[in-house]
Amino acid sequence: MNAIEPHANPDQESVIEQILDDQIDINSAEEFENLLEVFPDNAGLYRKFADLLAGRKRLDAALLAYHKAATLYLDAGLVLQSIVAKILEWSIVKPSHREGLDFHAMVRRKGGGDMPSQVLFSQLNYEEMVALMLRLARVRLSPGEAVYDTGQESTDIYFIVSGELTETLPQIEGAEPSTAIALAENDIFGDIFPLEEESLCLARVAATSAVELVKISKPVLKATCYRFPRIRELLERLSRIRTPQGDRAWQTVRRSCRYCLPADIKIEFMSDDTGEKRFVHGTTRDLSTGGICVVLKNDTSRSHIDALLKQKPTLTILEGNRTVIDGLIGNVAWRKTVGRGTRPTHIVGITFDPMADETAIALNAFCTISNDEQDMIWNLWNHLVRH
Amino acid sequence: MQNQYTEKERTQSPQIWAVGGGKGGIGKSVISILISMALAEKGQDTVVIDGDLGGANLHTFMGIRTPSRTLNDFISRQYATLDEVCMGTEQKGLRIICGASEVLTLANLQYTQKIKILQAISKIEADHVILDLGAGTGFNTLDFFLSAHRQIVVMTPQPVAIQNAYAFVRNAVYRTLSRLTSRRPSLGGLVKAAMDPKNDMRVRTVSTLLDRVAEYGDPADAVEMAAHLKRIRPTLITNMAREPRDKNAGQIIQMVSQKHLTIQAEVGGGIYFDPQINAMVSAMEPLTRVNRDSNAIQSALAIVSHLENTATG
Repeated sequence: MNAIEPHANPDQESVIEQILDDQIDINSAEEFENLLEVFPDNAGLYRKFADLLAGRKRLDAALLAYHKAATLYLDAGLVLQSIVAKILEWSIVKPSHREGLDFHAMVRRKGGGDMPSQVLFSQLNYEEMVALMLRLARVRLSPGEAVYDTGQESTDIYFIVSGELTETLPQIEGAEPSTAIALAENDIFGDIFPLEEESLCLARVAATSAVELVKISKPVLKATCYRFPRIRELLERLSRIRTPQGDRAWQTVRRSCRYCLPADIKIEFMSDDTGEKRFVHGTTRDLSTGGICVVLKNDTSRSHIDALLKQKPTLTILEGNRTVIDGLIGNVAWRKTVGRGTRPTHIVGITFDPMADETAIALNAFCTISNDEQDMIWNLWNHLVRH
Repeated sequence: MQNQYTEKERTQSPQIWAVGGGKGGIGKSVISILISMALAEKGQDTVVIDGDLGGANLHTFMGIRTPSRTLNDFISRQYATLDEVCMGTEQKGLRIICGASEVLTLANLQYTQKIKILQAISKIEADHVILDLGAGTGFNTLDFFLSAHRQIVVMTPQPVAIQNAYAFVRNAVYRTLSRLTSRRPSLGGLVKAAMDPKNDMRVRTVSTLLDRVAEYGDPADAVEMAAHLKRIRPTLITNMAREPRDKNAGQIIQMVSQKHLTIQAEVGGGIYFDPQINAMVSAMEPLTRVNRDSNAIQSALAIVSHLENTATG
């Protein structure tokens, strides 16, 4: 099984988030396929899967996965992320003019939102969008890596596809200590205006998580804007917008999958040999009406896990020792062991079978509120109630 | 026993307080009884109704093993009024209407039966009626909740319970908007689509929904919808609190509701975990015998005082 980075914390964080943030490594196409059975609507997982396939030169499969990711991102209103997936898809097979027009129409129809890159791309006409798409270059950063430093010559404008960065203004003698502003998905940054003059970076920007950016260099943007002046107008305005940190969770449409608050899970199955009922317990932050990822408790025995994989488990969602939802029957589609040493953590991904109406209603109600609402409840609980 | 209530000259319908919220097991029934007892202690003639017809068990908290008459007897016309179905309790001033799980569930309650029950509740000879609703967010449960003068939402201080209670409030808000727009296909479609948190229209809050209604439809519709939402003012009660911070759970729903649902919920306080209550429930001992100095009863009295002093919707 794959090892993970030391900071991975699967029993407290969403497993899917950790996979997307590279804290949990998935390095086989088969494993991704299994995981996508559990979360078939997750755009981020499809994008990761496509990158893996492309890296292994399985271009036909990568093409399909990028296409799927682009569609799912757009469904979730994540225009920039969809555009990047589309760029990668079209880098494998060049699109027809019709496909380009259709994609632009979809962006206009499903795009929009409050964040700078959402505003930008949903307002561009077809020629403007294509002009930008052709000139975007991808950049990946590790946590701690700097994009640029204060005083450095400003050479590019950046769009944040995923991950988080901080922008730190220099401390001026006698003034208040400098403050760091958080930058995240869909923000635009880079002190490149005015384009006709040399400019310097006014702050230091560095990654605080694994980050994917796309950028355009100053001379290329200058040439593009000469032909498409509206791009300059929009970018100049949008690159100066900084969202108050407290509002970010509300304004950013994050990932396309819905994540639930931590819930306790009991999994019931039959033992291999005696046919007796067995139970294992765990927690989840990844639950949809189609499936679930459960981080099993550390004391779960290897023999129980092996038996669980061969059986059709029945799941119960618990709150303390009270049942919230029961009767969820499914199949283990994905399994992962993370961490080294004597106490590794076991994770199972289970797809749900078709369920009774009553159970489906209960599960829908459990998963029905939006990411923003869940984030707000979780943040407030941490702040106001957690002991 | 009934005469002591019917002899009073009443000019007003009873104040109806509905107790709902999320899933089962969070103590809705216990809270319903504690509030009913607190009202009765304050000299208010009170009737507590088991509105969880699918899983009626309120009577067991009163030490009643097999109710001699239930709400179903009223629905099946064996009794003409709900007062006739009421049973006395050990608490002076408090009566109970038991539910009947084997015959009827709120899920399959017909519209006319629902109206009949609601009308009959408003004619009960009492100062207060406490309606203990079942778990879940079925339409009938929501309709009973929304019809009450006071809408009480119970939660425990765990994140999952808070999420469930919020989902209940959210569904009550969308039920209100759905009913309001049920004869207006275009508006109704907009409301229905907005209920999906991932809707294509990028409507993420009720406030945005109202903006869209005003922008693309008739601004008067948006004003009417907003006026109806103003009437939803759930009172949030945290049950089984163990630490003072636990009582902040209500604030969470208050803040999220204000931002996302455009409604003003009210924090109604909390009730501390009381092992005596647990022991009594296990022993099927009537909760009316709970020690009057207990934390639970004192908290309930404080909540009732607070509720009586604040205006209802």
